[in-house]
Amino acid sequence: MSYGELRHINVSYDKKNFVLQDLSLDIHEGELLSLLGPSGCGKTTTLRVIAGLIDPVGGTFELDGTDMTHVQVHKRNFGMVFQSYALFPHLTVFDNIAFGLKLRNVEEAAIRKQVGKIMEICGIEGFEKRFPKQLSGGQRQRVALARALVIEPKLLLLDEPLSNLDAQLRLQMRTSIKRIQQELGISSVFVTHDQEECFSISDQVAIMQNGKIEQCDSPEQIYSHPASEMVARFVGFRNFFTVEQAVGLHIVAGNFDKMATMMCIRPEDIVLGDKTFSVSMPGTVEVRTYLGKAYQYEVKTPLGMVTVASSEDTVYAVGATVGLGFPREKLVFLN
Amino acid sequence: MYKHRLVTIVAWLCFAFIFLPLILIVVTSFNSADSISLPLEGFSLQWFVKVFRSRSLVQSLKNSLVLALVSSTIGIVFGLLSSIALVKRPGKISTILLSIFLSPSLIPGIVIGYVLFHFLVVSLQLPLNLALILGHLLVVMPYSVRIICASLKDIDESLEEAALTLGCPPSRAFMKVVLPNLRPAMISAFMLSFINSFNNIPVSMYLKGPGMNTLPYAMMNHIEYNYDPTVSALSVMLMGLTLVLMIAMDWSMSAQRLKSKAAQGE
Amino acid sequence: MKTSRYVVLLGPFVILAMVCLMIPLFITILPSFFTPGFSFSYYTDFFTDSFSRNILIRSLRLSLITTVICIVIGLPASYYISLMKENRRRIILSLILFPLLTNAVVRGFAWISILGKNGLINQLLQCLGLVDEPVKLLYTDFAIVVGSVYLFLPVMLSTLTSVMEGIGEDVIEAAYSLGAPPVATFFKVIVPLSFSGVLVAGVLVFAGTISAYTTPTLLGGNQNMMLATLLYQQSNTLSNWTNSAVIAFIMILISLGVMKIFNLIAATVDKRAEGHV
Repeated sequence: MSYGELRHINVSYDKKNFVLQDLSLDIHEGELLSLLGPSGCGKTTTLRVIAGLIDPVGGTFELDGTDMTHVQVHKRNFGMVFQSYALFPHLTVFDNIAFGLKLRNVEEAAIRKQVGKIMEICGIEGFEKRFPKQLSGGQRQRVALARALVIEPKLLLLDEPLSNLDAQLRLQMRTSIKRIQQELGISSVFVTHDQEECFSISDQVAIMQNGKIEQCDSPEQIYSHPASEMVARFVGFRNFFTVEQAVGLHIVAGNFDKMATMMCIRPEDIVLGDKTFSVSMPGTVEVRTYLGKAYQYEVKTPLGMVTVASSEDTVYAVGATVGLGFPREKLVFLN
Repeated sequence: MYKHRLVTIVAWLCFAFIFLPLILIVVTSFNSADSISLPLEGFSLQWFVKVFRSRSLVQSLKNSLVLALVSSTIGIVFGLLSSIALVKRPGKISTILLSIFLSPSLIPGIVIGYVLFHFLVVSLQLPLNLALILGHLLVVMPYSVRIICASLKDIDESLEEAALTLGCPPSRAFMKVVLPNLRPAMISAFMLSFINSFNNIPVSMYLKGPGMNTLPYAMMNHIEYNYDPTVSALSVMLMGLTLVLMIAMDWSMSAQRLKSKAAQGE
Repeated sequence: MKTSRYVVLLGPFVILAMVCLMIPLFITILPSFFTPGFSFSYYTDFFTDSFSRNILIRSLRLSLITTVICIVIGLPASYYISLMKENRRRIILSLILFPLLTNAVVRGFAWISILGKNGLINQLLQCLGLVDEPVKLLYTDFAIVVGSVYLFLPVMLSTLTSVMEGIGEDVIEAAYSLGAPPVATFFKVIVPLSFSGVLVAGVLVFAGTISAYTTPTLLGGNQNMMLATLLYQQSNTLSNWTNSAVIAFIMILISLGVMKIFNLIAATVDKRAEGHV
């Protein structure tokens, strides 16, 4: 049994169109779960349902064996980091972080101790007396994180926390977030639309589309075994064929799941050789682009256009006839 | 950047046109001559003393201050309440209501004064001081609603949500995290309301009565019968008051700008 | 937000707007359409009577003149301000706003001191021996226009300056680089790009001038009436309710009409701008 369980959650604002539809999700204790998907897929809505900021029209949410579905936001004790950080502009950094503790009537001395400790963990010592407007983007981010963590939340929720930072800072912050999350062992839900960011810090990834979860697995599993065409495209598969086509062209024999209808392969997993290449399918190079580490070819084959990335020494010219090999272990079958 | 000489000339003539009349008033208010004339005869504060000797001016000054204070205070409280509703629940009704709240600044003041007089005083027979406060409330309504609404829209919606997630009950979240950030807007709204109520003539003019005159209209009466620098002296004092309000407002506005920038996470 | 809370929050101002604006307007103006049956005869009377018609025409004419003068002075002056350095510009803009926050009586009074029979200008002219008799400047249409320009020029300047600040130096530099001389740049680039600002400020000036009461009273006197002074005379001095209602309604129509025309022009301008992009 998992730590947090969303079961059959439905969210609708007008009772006709569903933003979330029959969504179920497990949150494992101490792990970081990412919700990944294009904008409008419902990932932020899911996070807000967990936070209690949106009431689902149906379904349940249990945490640690307690039903949280109808618990009000302020009684949930979840820490949340907002995309805009939502720091209180009229309060100093210290007062921002101490906000939650003061509401819990923690003693003055204890507040100072806890705030000091969390500021150290988040790397913002010395900024106590500043106002949010006097901080850089990364510092604000850390204050927002500290403010959410100091109340010792049962769950940490992060809504695209890195999207307002520049590329370099984003890289640095995501490492910090992962380190702090592991250090405190806090169960977290992280919303993002950035695939690389997501895979690098998550223990579990839920890929969402149109208010549904397409696949929820470890990053490695999703990367190597996408469960649907959408997920496969999302994680870098470019070449899709029907199984029927592939069998017809002798790319695969009968030793695979008979339910599968589609198969796919990444550009870099296709083996490229000249036309004498043995286990191959012939094709003609139509477009060649240079990617730095490799060349990418658009090859015209009996399967249609196939995208191949090759880092081999041999470079093929446009118009050249080549042979393509599809290694069995790299082919992914989709139902 | 290149500026044509003509542009410079027009600009400076324009500044002179705007500022010289006001400077003239200031200068003549300290002049001892008993009409407004140049060259200056000598320094004197007698006109300032005369302002305070005139019972009608002092009484109407008091009336205007009280009226402006009361209507601006009530105005920003109601303005805050309305703005919360309009911003937090946008929609067709809110859009229509907003344009109604702003309409007193589009309809000619004299028309508002007249219809108020006709309805409140002639038809309903309300006491004048009540009618006057209602009228001035109507005058300040657009300013408080416009300024507070704009500021409220600028404040990050997540602030309240952040307070909730940190354990703040919904009834207190607005007071604790939104209201403090609205303070500069409330101050600006108050000052603009105050100035507009204090300077209003058309509404006050219709709703005045025995002992219920306001300063601008008393000044108009004074000018009709006495053409001496008393009004200059009074004007200088009013300009001083305006200046103080302006500086205070500028200060609160710039503070607000900084804060709203912070709220947007720039 | 729950409907009950929405109603409670909006209650005070909705009631105020109803009791002190909507209902009074309705009750006051409605009778002007009944004689006793529904008719426009009070309005046709107003337009056929040469006295009231002249006042309407004067009001429109003086407001238009005031608006044009404000635009003609305002464009170059705002351009000048917009080219100033940040600090100086801030100071000059607050100085310009200052008269806007002073009482209309104070501002009218200043012009009485300047234009009056013993005013500054006449003193000056007589000193120089240019005239023997004081020239009649006060209580003329000229005085009303001067006073109105004085009243509303700050509005024009602050609106236009903020628009011109937004134009950006690169556009101006682009014009220069294409070989446009400064004068041509001003008329072919700055003025057209400021059009929206001119429109907004122009409406404010026109509507403001035509509905102002204090300035025409102080500077125009009893002879040179405008709509606002006529309304006050009809309602307060003569207690003529129907005439007052007619004037009030015409004033509202003019204000709203100017807004409407402004919106139409603004809409076409917007379309034109989109077409170019």
